[in-house]
Amino acid sequence: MSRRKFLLTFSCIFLILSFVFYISVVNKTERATKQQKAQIEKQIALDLTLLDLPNELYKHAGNKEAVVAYIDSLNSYLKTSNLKVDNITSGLISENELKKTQFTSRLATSEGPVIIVFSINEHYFTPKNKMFFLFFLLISLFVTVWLKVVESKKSSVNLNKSINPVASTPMPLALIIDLRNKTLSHSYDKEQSVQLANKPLCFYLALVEYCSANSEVTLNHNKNVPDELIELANKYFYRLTELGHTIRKRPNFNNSLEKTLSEIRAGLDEVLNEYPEEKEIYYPPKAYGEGSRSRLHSYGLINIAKGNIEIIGK
Amino acid sequence: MVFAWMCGQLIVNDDELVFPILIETSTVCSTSATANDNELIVFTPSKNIATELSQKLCDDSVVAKQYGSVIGYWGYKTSDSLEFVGKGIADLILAKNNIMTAFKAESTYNYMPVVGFSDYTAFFISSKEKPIISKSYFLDKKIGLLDYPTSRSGHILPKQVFKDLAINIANLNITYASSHNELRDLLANGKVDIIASFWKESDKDRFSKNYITPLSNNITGTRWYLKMQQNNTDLLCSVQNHLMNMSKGQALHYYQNVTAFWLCENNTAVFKVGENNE
Repeated sequence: MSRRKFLLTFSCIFLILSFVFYISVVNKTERATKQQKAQIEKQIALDLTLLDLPNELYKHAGNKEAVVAYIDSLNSYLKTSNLKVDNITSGLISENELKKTQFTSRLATSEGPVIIVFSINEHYFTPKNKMFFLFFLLISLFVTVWLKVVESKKSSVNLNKSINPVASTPMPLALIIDLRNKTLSHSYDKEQSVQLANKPLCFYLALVEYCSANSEVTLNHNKNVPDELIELANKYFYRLTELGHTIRKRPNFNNSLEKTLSEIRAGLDEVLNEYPEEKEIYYPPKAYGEGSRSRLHSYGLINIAKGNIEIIGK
Repeated sequence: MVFAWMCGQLIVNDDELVFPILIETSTVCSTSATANDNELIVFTPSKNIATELSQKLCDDSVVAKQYGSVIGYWGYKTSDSLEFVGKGIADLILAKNNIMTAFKAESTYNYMPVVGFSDYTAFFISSKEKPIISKSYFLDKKIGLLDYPTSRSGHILPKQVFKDLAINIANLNITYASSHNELRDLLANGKVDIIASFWKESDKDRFSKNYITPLSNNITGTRWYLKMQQNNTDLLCSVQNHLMNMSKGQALHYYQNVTAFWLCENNTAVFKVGENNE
């Protein structure tokens, strides 16, 4: 799981949890508020006969202090509620006088309406709720980490599955030489193939067969190519003729040997580009320092016995 | 998600609101004679006095011999005192003598005055000039009166003055207040030009004594009455004693100035002051 995916998953889980929690809190608060409003109204209605409110008919001024004291004592029982009673009045209250958080409720009595002014505290980010958001943050982190662990386990199982057969039957790289279309390729990626000309192809095939049989031999540029090798090359050339690749007469494999080897090397370079360590086996050694004409240099495939060559259309 | 929803549902408090009795109108205490079912009922317009007096009576040994408990009621509204006086519910009641007279409570229930506060004078009080008792003076003034009809200085007497001057009360600009203190606030804040009330010493700080005009002299002060259906002199003397002691602790000068109506000596009680000072 990449870091970006990790963060994305984490924030998604957290946002969903928080959103659901928030909606739930709002929903429950609304219901609780409605219920508590009714309970407060009931209590005020019960106390209304003893509440000294102004009365216009009786020219009664009312006892403001007593009403304020009553509201205070009522509010002291509303500490856990998000509702508060701001005022109880027998007069009319215009909507403009109310603050944003206030709303009114009207009790109809035989002596005229009594208006209760409530104020509501719609504060959903209380310390208690904040604790929950923190809790969700931890849960999201936990779940994301868990998902990450599960995913990496799964992918390692998959990797094992794909690696296991290779591990149980190790398949070293095999060089595939196809005579039918004169190409070089290898077993790991058969699509990546390189076409060789007739002469280098035949010579390389002959060199492989010759060196497999005579691993100790030293093939020197100064000397002529051994007859046995020439014969093998000719044999492969006949095969190519048989396959209809050429009608020309066979080339002289002794001529321009260096050029032929170069073409072979170029082809192998291309095919074994990604596996340079395999070149040691299949690559006709180049001369370093001593010069290609040196007596010491041999273009023989010394390690070819360790190699694995598959010839198609032999 | 379900978990988050449940959390939201559980965290919001929706406990049912439970209110106790929010407006109390009485206090009860027991005497040492808990087996006695008799209740001594006390009524006073003030909560503090009702509480204090009830407690004192509960601790009293004479009361304990006759009653198991003392209930102190205080009026929350003016009409409460009318019920108590008119129906003779209270054994001991603090009331104005005009109300006692109105209900003929003294003869009906045999209420006897025990302790009385001194008589006083009602005034028109202004902040800027000495009020003149004349029709033309009152007509363009804003007047502050008390809203309860049992008040003599703040309601009955000023209205009598207006009637005597042949002023239609409907033509006057009257503002009603619920207490004498509220009336004083109205005057001090310039909401009214004149108020009708009594004069107390502390008024000097807010108003001038030169700008008051008396309405009527010798308004009989409020009195404590005891229902004397038996010749229960022990209780009478004990109650009088408590009331006299309590008045000494009152903050207002007016309430400290009390008269005892009975002479309690050698286990007898003799009525010493006549009720001829109406």
